[in-house]
Amino acid sequence: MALTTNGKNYIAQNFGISNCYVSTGLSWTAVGNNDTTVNESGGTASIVGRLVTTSVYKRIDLTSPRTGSYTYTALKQANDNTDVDMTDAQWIAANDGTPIGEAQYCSTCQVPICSFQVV
Amino acid sequence: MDIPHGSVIQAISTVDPGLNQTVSVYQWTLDVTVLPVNTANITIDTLNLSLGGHTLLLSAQNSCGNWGSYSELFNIIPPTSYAEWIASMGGIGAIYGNLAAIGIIIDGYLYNNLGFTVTLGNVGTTIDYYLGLP
Repeated sequence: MALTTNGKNYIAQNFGISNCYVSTGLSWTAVGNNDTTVNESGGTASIVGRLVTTSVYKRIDLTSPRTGSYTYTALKQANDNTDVDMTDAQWIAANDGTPIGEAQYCSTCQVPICSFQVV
Repeated sequence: MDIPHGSVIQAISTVDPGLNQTVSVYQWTLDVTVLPVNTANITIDTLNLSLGGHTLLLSAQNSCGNWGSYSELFNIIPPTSYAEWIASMGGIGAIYGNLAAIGIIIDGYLYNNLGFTVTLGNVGTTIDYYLGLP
């Protein structure tokens, strides 16, 4: 388990819904290192599981409910430059609120407050 | 004999002492589980098992010091689809938490060494099975 608080929050804010980990409700296009693509849907752990599989995946292009391109490099950077691996995806799957009664991790700070800067 | 990938067969030897052999096909190797049984009050004390190539060879010694042996030649039929590969691994449930399975399917995707074409979607599906996701 190598997720830092910053990493957990980054994942919740970018690969979650309402800043919380989810097991379903997200859609994306997975892009392979050979530029092969496949449209998929699922939850937070699925996305992280793909991003950490760097031998296969180049990036994930989220299509719903939010959009954006995400890479493992960005994920690692958000995790205080600490590597993220499949055991972290397992932890996310165990904290996505499914099945009912399971803990659901939500970001400890809310967008856009997390990115707000005083100038 | 031909056995499909992932199949479980049972062969009962006719030699003394009696043996039950359960053979599971896993990838390109055979995982063999031997279940010693008591037959006519004869207890198997020693059991040797070797697998050279596709030949299964068993030998056993009972409590009276008698040796018996059994051998059979297998031709392994590799999986021809992702669904057959999942079955050969023991089903979806066997993928859960099985990091080696992810490695196998990744290698199949990258190096085309599983005997069928592994798609990017197959890799993602395997990751989801590993994580136990719906």
